[in-house]
Formats: sequence, structure tokens, C-alpha cells
Amino acid sequence: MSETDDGSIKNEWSLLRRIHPAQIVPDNTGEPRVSSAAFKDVSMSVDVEEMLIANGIDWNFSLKQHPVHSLMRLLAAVPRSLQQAVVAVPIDGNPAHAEVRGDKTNAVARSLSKAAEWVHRR
Amino acid sequence: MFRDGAARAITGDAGGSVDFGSGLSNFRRSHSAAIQPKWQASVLMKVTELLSLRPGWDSYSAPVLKHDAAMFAMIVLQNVMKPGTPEPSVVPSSTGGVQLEWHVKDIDLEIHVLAPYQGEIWWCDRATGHESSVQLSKDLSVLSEPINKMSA
Repeated sequence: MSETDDGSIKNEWSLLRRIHPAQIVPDNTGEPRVSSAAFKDVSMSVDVEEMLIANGIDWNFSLKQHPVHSLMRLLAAVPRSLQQAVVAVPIDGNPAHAEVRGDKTNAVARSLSKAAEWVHRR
Repeated sequence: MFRDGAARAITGDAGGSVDFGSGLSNFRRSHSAAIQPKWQASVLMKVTELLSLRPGWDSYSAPVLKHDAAMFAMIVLQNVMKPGTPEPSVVPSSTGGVQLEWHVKDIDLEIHVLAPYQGEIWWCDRATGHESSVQLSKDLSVLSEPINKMSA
């Protein structure tokens, strides 16, 4: 496990983040968008999609125990461009777990939310 | 600045009240209901729902929504909402705060309340590209411009 960003998660790899239904809001056209409030955790947990695939599973794993949550994807390069560290933190039952570490102002959280794309929306 | 008496409600310094009997109480309740803006009941209902979220509601390690943050968000709204201001989305944050946000009429406005007088106000006018971010404090004057633009 790395304590700091050692680059072991490549910039072009995808980070998966679950989204609670209360964190989905209408945009100016009425379409659902994710709120920046979903990206404010100083140590923000994510799953690394390429690591899931290397373990023979895919993004469905991230939602398996969470029937009401949606799932979003963003490239690891995005938080790094916002002075965030992307750190592999494997945990029991989830070798693909990682954290996006760093203070997240509203501007940072908003940039993360704008860069994220839906993988699966409920 | 906050309207007279609004901030006192959160600090418990609301002062005493005189009981003029149940008739007056009933009148005051009915009168309040009649003049209360629609957003108040709707936002209060959403805030109440969010206060019932359990620890880990975001599927990670989010704490429960802080009661004082939720109540302070209501007080902020009480002070800045105008007739014609669209109702905000009320969103829990993974840090135990509550975020009020609007994405209407080329305005993006987000008020993240972590605790009374703590948090951040961020807004952007997509038509001009103007963007502003300040710490939440007693001074809410920064909200005048985006609220006016949304309420027009």
C-alpha cells in the first residue's frame, strides 16, 4: 500500500465512485447531473476499473452491495491535475480500492464532478 | 448580514416569548402558514429526510448530516431567498455538511454549509465566465448578485 501518490495508478486508468441518489440534481436543462457535494471527501474512496478487470471482474463489482447507488467514472489524471494524490489502498475483499487524497475546495470538487461520466445511473 | 433575529435562532438566544393564549397561537400558526413561501416547507421536508440518513449513507464512510449545519442552511435561505427565486437542490455532502445549489438561468450557485458560519459559497455566471468563491460568514452580500439574476 502506498501512503503517497507513487504513480502506480496510471493517469489513463479510470476511477469509479458510487453516487447516492440525493447527490444527483437537475442541471440548467433539467437533466440529472452529479452534485459537487459527492466529491468533497478529503480521502475519497474509489475503485480502479483496470484493477478490477485485472482481477477478472468489472464495474458491476462496485455496485454489487449497493442497489440504490449510481456509478461514475473519471480518469486518474483529472484529480492529479487538481493537486490531488491518487493512492492505491487495497482493502479486504477489494484489491482495486484506492483513495483520492487532498483538500477539496468547491472549485476542485466541481471540476471532479464535471469530469465524471456516468457508468450506471439508477 | 442576517435579517434581524435570524441568527439568534441557531444560537439559542431567541429571547423569551409571551403566551397570549391558544387563540393567538392558533392565529399565528395559520397566519404563518398563509404567508410562508412555498420553498420553506419543501426545503424543510428535504432537510428532514437528509437528517435521517445513517452513517455511511454514501456507501463509504460519510457521517450523518450535522443538525446545526442543516438548520443554518435554512437560516441562510431565509435571509437570501426572494419572491421568484427558484427552489434550491438540497444535497448532503460526504463531510456531514449540506449543500444548497442552483443551476438555472446561466447561474451555477453552490452554498456548502459545514456548520453555522462555516463553509463555502461558490458561484459562476456562465454567460460572462465570472466565477467567485468566498468562505461562508455572517456577510451574505456576495449572494445578492447570483440570487438577483436567478430571481429576475
